[in-house]
Parts: sequence; structure tokens; C-alpha cells
Amino acid sequence: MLFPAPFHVFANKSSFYHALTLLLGALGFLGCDDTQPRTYTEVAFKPLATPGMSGRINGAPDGGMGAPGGGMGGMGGMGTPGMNSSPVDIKVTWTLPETWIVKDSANAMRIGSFAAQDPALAHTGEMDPKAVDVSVVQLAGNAGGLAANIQRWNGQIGIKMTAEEMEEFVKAGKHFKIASGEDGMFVDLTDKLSGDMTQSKTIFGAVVQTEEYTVFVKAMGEQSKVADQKPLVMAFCKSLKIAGPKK
Amino acid sequence: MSAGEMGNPSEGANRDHEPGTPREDGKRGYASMEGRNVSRRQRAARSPIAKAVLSPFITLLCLLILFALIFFGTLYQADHGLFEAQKKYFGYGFVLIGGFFPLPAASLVIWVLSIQLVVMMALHLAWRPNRIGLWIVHLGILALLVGGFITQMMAVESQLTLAEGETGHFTTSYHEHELAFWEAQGDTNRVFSYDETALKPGRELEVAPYKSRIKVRSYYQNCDAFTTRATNGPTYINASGIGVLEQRKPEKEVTQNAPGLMLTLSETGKPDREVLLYGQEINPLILTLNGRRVFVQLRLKHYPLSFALHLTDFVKNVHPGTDVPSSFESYADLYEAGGTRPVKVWMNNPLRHAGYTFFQASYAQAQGMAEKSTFAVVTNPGRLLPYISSLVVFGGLLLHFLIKLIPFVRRESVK
Repeated sequence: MLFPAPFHVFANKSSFYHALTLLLGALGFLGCDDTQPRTYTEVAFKPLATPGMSGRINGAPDGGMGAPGGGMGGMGGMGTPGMNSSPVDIKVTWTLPETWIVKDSANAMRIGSFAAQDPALAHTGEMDPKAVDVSVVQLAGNAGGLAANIQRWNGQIGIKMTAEEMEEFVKAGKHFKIASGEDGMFVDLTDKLSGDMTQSKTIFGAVVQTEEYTVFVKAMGEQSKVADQKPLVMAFCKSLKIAGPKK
Repeated sequence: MSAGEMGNPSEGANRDHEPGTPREDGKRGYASMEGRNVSRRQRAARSPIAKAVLSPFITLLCLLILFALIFFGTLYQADHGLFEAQKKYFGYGFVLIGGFFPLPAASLVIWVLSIQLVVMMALHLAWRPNRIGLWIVHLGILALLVGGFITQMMAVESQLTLAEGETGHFTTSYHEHELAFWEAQGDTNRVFSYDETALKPGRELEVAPYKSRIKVRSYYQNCDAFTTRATNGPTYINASGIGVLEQRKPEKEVTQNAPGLMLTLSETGKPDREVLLYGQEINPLILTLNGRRVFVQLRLKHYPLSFALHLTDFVKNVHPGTDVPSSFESYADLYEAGGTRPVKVWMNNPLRHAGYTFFQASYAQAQGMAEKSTFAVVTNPGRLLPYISSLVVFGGLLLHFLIKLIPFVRRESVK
């Protein structure tokens, strides 16, 4: 018999095809792709007049995270044309460590993009496939807040930090002065990786924040590589000179 | 709902079902229908289609498939994230277990079970006063399934983040993007948008308000953007100087994806323009379309509110003598046509207004800056149905129990 006992009803071909047609019909109905456009009116966002508030950056959870490392996601911005945290009119310069290589292809958000090579390979002309990726990003205002941006970095390497832990982390941050005198804070996430994350990448970086702008330096790579590069990253951060913004 | 109630009346005893009383001699056929006129309902119940739809084997198979989907979906989630697992294992398509064994996804299976339920009710559940409890139970289950369908199709989850002093007029999706075109009209933007689901390569879409068309060249769910220019192919117009997009594997957490779109924009009587949009760009692209200044952006989907929420204060309380937070509270003013009223949103005490529910979801405190509060915003027309259906099922079971209990007690008292 073609159909086993529980399927004996399908021995009647017409009932089988009826059932199949019903099923496919339902599938077809439910599988429709919605290509209809939406039209709606939304009120344009008005930025706060508060000094240091940069308005909202498009696409930012927690009120507009900046784009350290080029990533923004989550909360959509209430930004309107011509009103958001586009880069401010400042000029950031630095002293590049000898062993770092300037990358040709930079993320759109980056003002600097480097491969921090293993010093042993630096003079051989070979490219280090595990070079630490170093980026410099500048944004207007507080760029969504220090905590929000660190949380974003956390997300990139799989660290979960509660708001309270973040508060503690920011409080415990080590501060330094960059070459032009502004205050900066180092952000070292390696200690926050849990014991089972030995294979994970880590981030060491720094944030320089004033009322007018925020500059992020982020070094991301394998833990041992980032540890090797840490002194150079710190020296690089301290070498930053920021001119402006123009009044 | 027992297997017997769902099942084919020819399969085992089922005395609650009108035409389904099997012959006591165990042979095929329906003793109650033999030798007298049968109703249309009874005839329908005997049709091969009804028997096929109500096969208990299908019921059992569906339940086993659901079990397998939950098991393998949970494993899949560990590597691919919740969103991808939900989409693949609990949607409407088919999933290959282990890369080779096809199974229908959960929504499809639940549809089959729902159809079985409805057909069973229509054809087999007896129309007798003493079965009213069972009818109520089945209607309650049906309401639960309908509620699930409404939630799946119509519920929208989004978020709204406000700094103290800011006013929100719309919420944004967590991960769904839209291609938006808009013109600034005073304090408002008139937006025309396509959801990312419409942005399939090769597809042509009308941008009716600006008498233009777009042809999607490529859409990447996740990609990297580079300012270098491609050696081959067209030079793209882009607001941030991006010249190349490189596709990446989608992130485990879907909110971390950065989509990218390359399209050809056509206007009658003008040369085509090649446009590149990246989901993480801060600035929209400004184009002249049909003589009008139009902003174009690939952005997280916006959901306009019918009112405005102005965050006046965010308060984080801590347990005395510690830094451990005890509560998070958002104080806001709700503006709408009828006036303004103060509202308070705090943990487990959402604001419900005009079909929206605002949950206190997160906050941010930057040094020296205004505090920010994030609300998870949900609209779900079917949100009450699970509660209602649970009560209905409970009521039905209770009623059926009483209907059975009373004769039992009478019989026992006679003894």
C-alpha cells in the first residue's frame, strides 16, 4: 500500500491534492512580500540649546552613540537635515609610532586608520596578518555619551556590562593629558573579558571629550597583540594635538 | 483539547463528537449515521478531505516537529542570535535541520494545527448543551492562536531615547531599516519610504512624490564602507565620500548590522545617477529630484507617534549607603491635541497611551551631561487576547467540570 495506515486517507488522490492546495495557498498568502511604500509625516527634531549637547546622532541607542570604530546601531536618530553630530571643525594631529602603517581604506567615520604591526615584522616589509586595528574618530559634542560609546565597544567584543558596572568602570578610568592639554581617559576592556573569552578580541583605547567634540582612539585585535601594542597606543594617545574648534 | 478531540473520529473512541461515535463492534463506519438521513455537517465530516485534515498522525507529526524546532532553534540561537533563530525556525519558510533534513518552520506548523482545530470544531464538536464547556475551551484556544497571529503580524517593537529636555515625536526600530526620502516642510518632514524587505537586487521601485524611479543594484544586510573608489564600476554619489561597500557576514546580534545599498536613480529626461547609501551614515544625502531638494537616507525605520513625549527628568535612586540602584524613573510631559499631562514611567510600570506601551528600558549618564532615558515602545493590537483566552479556557474547563460533576454527584447520592 502506498500510504501507511495513518495516511490511508491520502490514498484518495483528490483529497491529497485538495489538502496540498490548501496548504500551498495558505503559504502563498502568508509569504507575500510587502513592497508597498509608506508615507508619513514626522516632526523635525529640535536640538537642545544646552552647551555640549550635540543633538542626536542618527542611529544610536541610549540617545545617540557616536561611531567609535565606525559603528552605530539601535535607536534611530531624530536628526534632521543639517542638524546632527557631523564632525566639528577641529584638526586632530598625532605622532605615529614607527611600526604602524597607515591604512589606505578607511571607514567613512575615521579620520585615521592604522595597522599596528608586530615590531618584529615591521622592518621586514611583510604585512602582519594579525596587526591591531587602530582607528581615530572625531564627533561633535559628547557623541552620545561616554558610557554609551564604551557599551558599544563592549558589544563589539562580547562584553556585557550593566549600567552600574559601567558607572564604576567610568569612575575608575585612568585620565591623562594629550599634547595639546585636553583631558583624556584610557579605556581598557581586557580585564572585563570573562575567563572563557581568552580567544576573543579586545579593545584598548582612549576618549578625549570636551563640550565641543569627542575624539575616540580605538585599538582592537587579539588580546596578546593589543597587550604588546598598549604602550604604543598610550604614547599615540598622549601625542594627540587638537586645534579648534573655530569660533 | 485532547488528541481524541482533535483527531479523526475513525481513530478511537470520541463520544464528544457528534458524527464521530464509532461502532462498538470496532468496524469502520458510524453507527449513529447508518440507516438514517445525515446532515450536511455529518456528510462533510465523512469527506476524505476532512479526514485528511483531521488525521491524528498530522497532529502528532506537528507536535513532534514543534519539539524539534524548539530544540534545534535553541541550538541555532547560540551561534546566530535570537533574531536569526526566530526568523528561520519560527517563521513561515522551511528549515534544513543539520543542513539536509527539511522541516517546516513553526508558524507554518501552528497554522496546520489551527486549521485542524477549526475544522474539528466545525465538523465534530457536538452541538449539545452539555458540551458548552468544551466549546468555550476550544474557542478560548482559538482566541489564543488568533492573538498569536495578530501579535506576529501587527505588533511593533521599537525604542525611544530622550535626554532630559528633549521631545520625542517618533520611535525607531531596533534593527529594521528603511530607505527614506523626505523634504523639510517647516517643522515637519514628509517622508516617503520603502522597507528594507523591498530592496531586492534588480527590483525597480517608484518614488512617486518625486516622479523618479530607483533600481536596486545591491543591498547588503551587513557591510563595511570604504572611502576608496572602486576600480571597476560606476562612481557613486554619497554624502560621506564612501565609494565602496564590502559585504560582511551578518552579525550574531542583528542590531550590530550595518546595511548598505547601491541603486540607480532615474528621472525622466535626465541621466541616471548611481547612489550609494550606508546604514551608519550620520548625514543624509541631499539630491535634487523633480526640482525639489530631497533628503535620502538608509536609516533605522521610524514610527511616528500621534503625540509627543517630553522628558523632564530622569531619576536613578540607589539603596541607602550604596551605589546599587533601587529604581529608575522617567518623568515626562505628554503632549497631544487635547492638552498636556505629566506622566511617570518606571520599572514594571509602563506608560500606556493611544495603543502604545512605553517601558523603562535603559538609561545613560555621561559625565557632566544630561541624563538620558530609553523606552522600549510596543504596539500590539492583540496584547489582551492571551489574557482573555486564558480566562475563557479556564472558564470553559470549570464549566465542563461542573457539568460532569453534577450528574456524578446525583448518581453517587442515589447509590
